[in-house]
Formats: sequence, structure tokens, C-alpha cells
Amino acid sequence: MKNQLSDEAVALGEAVDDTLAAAGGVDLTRRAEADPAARAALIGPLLEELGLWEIEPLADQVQLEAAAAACRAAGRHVLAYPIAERFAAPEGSEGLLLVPSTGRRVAPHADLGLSWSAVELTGLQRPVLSTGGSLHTKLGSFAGEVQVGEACGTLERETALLITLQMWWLLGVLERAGADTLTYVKEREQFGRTLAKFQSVQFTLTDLTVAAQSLAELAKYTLWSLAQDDHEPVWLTDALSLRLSGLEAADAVMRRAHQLHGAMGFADETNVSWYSRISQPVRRLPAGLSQTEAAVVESMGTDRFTNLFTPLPSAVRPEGALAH
Amino acid sequence: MLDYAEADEVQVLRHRLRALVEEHIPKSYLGAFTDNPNDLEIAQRFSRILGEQRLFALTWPESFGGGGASSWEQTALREEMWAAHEPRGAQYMGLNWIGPVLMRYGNEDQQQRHLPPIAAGDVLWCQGFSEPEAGSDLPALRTKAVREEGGWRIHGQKVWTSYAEMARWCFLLARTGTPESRKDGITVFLVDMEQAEIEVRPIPSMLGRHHINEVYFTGAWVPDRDVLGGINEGWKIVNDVLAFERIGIARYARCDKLLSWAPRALGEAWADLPQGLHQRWAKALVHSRSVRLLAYKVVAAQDQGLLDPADAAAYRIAVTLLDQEVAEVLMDIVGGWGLGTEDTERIFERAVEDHWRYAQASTVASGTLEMQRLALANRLVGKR
Repeated sequence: MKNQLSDEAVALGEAVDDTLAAAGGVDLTRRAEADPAARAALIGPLLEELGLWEIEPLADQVQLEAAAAACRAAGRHVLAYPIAERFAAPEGSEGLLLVPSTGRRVAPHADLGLSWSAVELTGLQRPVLSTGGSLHTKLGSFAGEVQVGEACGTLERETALLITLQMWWLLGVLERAGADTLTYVKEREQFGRTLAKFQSVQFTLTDLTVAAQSLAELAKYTLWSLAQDDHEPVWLTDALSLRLSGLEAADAVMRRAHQLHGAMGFADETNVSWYSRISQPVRRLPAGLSQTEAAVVESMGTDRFTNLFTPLPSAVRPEGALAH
Repeated sequence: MLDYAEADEVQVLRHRLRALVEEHIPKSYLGAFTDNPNDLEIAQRFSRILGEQRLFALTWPESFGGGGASSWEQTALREEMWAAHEPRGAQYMGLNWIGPVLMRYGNEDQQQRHLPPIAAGDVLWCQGFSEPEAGSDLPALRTKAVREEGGWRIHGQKVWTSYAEMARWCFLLARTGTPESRKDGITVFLVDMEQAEIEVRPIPSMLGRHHINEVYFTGAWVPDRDVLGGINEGWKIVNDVLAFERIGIARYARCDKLLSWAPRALGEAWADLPQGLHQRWAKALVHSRSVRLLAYKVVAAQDQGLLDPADAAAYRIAVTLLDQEVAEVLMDIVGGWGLGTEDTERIFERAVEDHWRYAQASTVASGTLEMQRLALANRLVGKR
């Protein structure tokens, strides 16, 4: 058992991190919000120079790990760019959108004029008929409306890849939010001592840390599973399970990061406000926590989850038995 | 590069252990410490069977009577045994941490006398740590060891001591320094429990028989040869003990097993459960996977000699909370059967009831949730 990414992936993650930090880090996203349409030109070339789009994540595990490490590094700067969506692009398109199956059809980064394909959480593929511009809202600057056509097949592995890489991006956001929060409570003094000296603050920090660490380990496992050909029956369930954990961890980490930053955390001059706002499209689309849970149940309902004592018994759970 | 595939030898071991459990442990078995004395006999017999096949101290070094297996085989052993309601009874304590601590701190005489009986599954140990006035604040312990010619006399009281009624030996912490010496005045004694000066009083509890006891020491004798490590040097040993204990029980394994079993156990009734309960069940399965991966992170680090006690604390926080989450989900799934039944055919429901009762202690036993949080916080923010 090895729970470390390859050296190549680690090196690429560091290169992405360094490049984005040198270009302004979270300030890149601050600038992008002023003119969302311009971010393709602002950020795209930085990633192009690193050779990211030569990576084929589904070709082999080394490339898959490299893509994940790049997404995590981008998340550390809450980068407002469709890095996961571009890595998951199916043949013949520039990017893949994950669109809701009901309700308002909005997707992260759909406001950018790429040649898009679209899938739902189930892997169902739909042609993209048109996309709109940025929503220009506090939470939706980097999301846009999508019009899709009739279902035209399934893209299960690409869907699992997109979900997984989005969660690697989110993991980067949460790890950075946790690190910034730790720094803040070690510096901020109240009642004559730093916040970090208060036991209630320490316990809040530990809960935040355990949530982020759990997500990190599950993200690594899910990535490995996606690279295993014989795991095909569980690719999508594993990715959905990771999404479920990612959304839970995001709530656990960001709630605590906000609480410990106090009012300062709402101010756009602190990064935590950006981690919180800019992560919203990925956390709410194409489905929030409850709907993601329902999707996991549906997916497990066809016996697609492994643990120490599975495969789960199918004999007493006929296809669709869990559908309500 | 990431690799979560289980090695062939680990898979072989799993299958072998499952076959042995299938052959020797009744399906209705819920642990050694029930009201039925047969359960204890089953555990003692199974321990000897494992011992005969060199599977009992599987992962101990061969020089100490073990099988020299890898830490991943050790992990699989823990998982399989805990999932099967620990058919080794209380023996896991000797195997998981008393033995390893004796290997590290014991002298040759102590190792020769104590390790072979543990490896053979012949002897039970208990742990004399907590006292009425020293729970989480263990350095406040007052049980005193008084020097006499050739050894020490022990006076004091321990409490919450698991398996003390049946234990032959006790791994005891006692004060050898001044009352104010706290961590600097504690020594470890290996105490023979078969003495008139030791009285064990069981504490009736929701956990079941033998689980918790009071132990009174009224001048019990410990010869010099049974002092472990140096005088007043017990605290370092205790820290090691607690590190072993944090990863000693694979609670997620039983969670995995019971959650996976639930749909099959309920049969057609499974589809009638509300969607919300299906979602809690699915979430619990995912959480159990995450916790197992946190455990593997600790094992991998330990394997490379890079174990960070804070990582072990993070794992333990997650696994104890998982135990209780799973207990609640399962109790909702079985409904009124969760209150217990004499019907021994209701194996799943009885296992859920047992799991719920036992899970209540998860966040208290072997260091409370709060102490684990402090251990992790100390690493995050630096020692206070």
C-alpha cells in the first residue's frame, strides 16, 4: 500500500503552485472577478506554459496523478479557471461541463467560450446547445447558464474523472483555508492572548483538520481506483462518494474557518472570503449535498461500492430497489 | 505512485482467518464477555488454535515467538478479528501493546518469562491506569509503590480496569516519586494478580460483563524483577502504550461488516426504509472507507518509522466518531429489535444492539476524544 503521489505529480503540483503564486495567487481570482470573461487570457497562458494540456489523465496513472496534483495546487489559490473541466474534456471538445439534471441549468465556468461537452452526475451525455455569460453575482461570477439537448450516450469514466478532479481542486481550497485559519489564530490576540491558546479554538481547529485529512486520503484512493481498469463498475460510485465527502468537508472546514476569522473573514481583503465564495459553484452544482447523497445511494444500489466486506449483496437488492 | 491493492500474502491471510472464524466461532458469537460463560471458553480455545498455527502473535518478531509478518498483515489480522467480535477475547491487549512494550523496554528475563505465554494465547493481562482521581489527568495518579527489601508494596485503587477479574497479570502504573512529582514520579510494575492483597470488584455496566472493574491494592507485592524500565521513568513507556493503543483496534472493520450486512439482513424490508435512512447508511459506508484510509496512512507512516502521534490522534478522533455514527444508523435500521432479543436467530439485530452499547465507550476508552483533540492541537498550535 502506498499513499503518496508519484514524484512527477508532486513536482508538477509544486510547479503549478509556484507559477500561480508568482502571478499573484488569490489576487489572480480577485482580478478575474472584475472581468470574468478576461480570465481565459489572464490565467490560460500560465497553465499552457506549464504544459498542462499535454497531460492525458485517462491514459495512465502517472498522468492522472499529475492532473490531480495540478488541480490541488490550483485550488490552493482558489484559481477561477476550468482546470478540472479541461483535463476531463472528451475527444473533440475543449472541456466537460457537469450540468444539473433538473432545475436551473448552470455550471462552473460555463461562462467561458470553450467548445464544451456536457454530462450529468449519472454520466449521461448531452450536447451543449448554448452557454451564457458570467452570472455576475457574489457566488456565481465564474459560472454560466447552459442549454443542453437530448441525451446522446454516456461518458461514465470522463464524468468520474471530472467529479474527482473537481474534488482535488476543492481539497486544495480547503487545505489552504485550514492553513490560513491556523496562521490567523496564532496571530490574533484577544483577552491578552492569542486565539490559539483557547481550548475551544483548538478543538475547532482539530475538527477542521480531521475533515481535511479524511478528504485527502479518500481523494487519493478514488484517484487510484479510477486508474484501475478492473474497477470500472465502481468508477462512478467512487467519484460520487468522493464528492459527498468533499461537500461535507467543505462545510466542516469553511464553517470553522469563517467562525475563527470572525468578521474579518467576510471582508474581501482576507482570502477566506474568496475560498468560501468561489468554491460555491463546485459545491452546489450540479447537485448539493442531499442530492449527491441520493446519487450515491442510487449508484450503490447497483452494487457498486467496495469495502472490507463487499461486494454488497445484490440478491436481495434488485436493480432499482433503493430508488424512491 | 498510489497503490491501494492488497498484497497477495495479506489476501491469503484474510481468507485463512475468515475460514478459521467460520469453522470455530458460532455465528451468534458477540464477544467473549457476555453472560454466557461458553463465550469466554470459545475465545480461549480460538486463541490456542491461532497460537498452534502461529497466527496468534503473527506479527511479532520470530525471536519472540512470533511469525515475523508485515505491518499490513498485522492490520488485516486486527481488521478480521475486530469484525468477528474479537474472537481472541481480551488477548488482543497483550498482543497489541503489552507484548510490543515489553519487547522495547523489558529486560531479557522479563521478555523470556512474559512474551512466550502471551504469544501462545495462554495468559490475560489487564491495564492498571485510571484511578478515581486520575482519569484523563493520568499524571495525578496516587496508587503508591513503597520500597522494601527485594521489591515494592503497592497500595491504592484503580478503576475502569477491563478484564481485571480474569487477568493473571496487570500492567500497573504507580507513584514512586513525591505526591507532587506527576509525570516524573511514575513507574511501571508488572503485577501478579493472584495475591490476597488484590481485590477486584466488577462494576455493573451497559458494556457487559468483565468490561470494567475496580481493583484495590492493599500491600500487593512486586519483586524487583517485575519493575519495567527505570524507577520514575514510567511516563515515557505510557506514551508509547497510548500510541500503540490508538491504532490497536480496527473499529472501522466491524462498521464495514455491519453496514454491508444490513440490506441482506433486512431482505425485502430494506426497500421500505425511508430514503433519508438509505442516505445515512450510504454516508456511513463512505465515512468508514475514509477512516480506514486514515488508519492506513498511520500504518504506512509507522512502517517507515515516520509515525506522527498527531496523525494517530486524528485517526482515532475519526474512528471513534465513526463507531458512534454507525451505531446510530444501524439502530434506526433495525428499529425495535435494537432493544435486544433472546431470539438467537436474530443474529444481525443482536450484533447491532451489542455494537451500539459498546460504541458508547468509543470516545472515552483508551484516552477520551478530548485528549485526542488536545494531542492533535498540540501539534497544530505548538505545546501550551
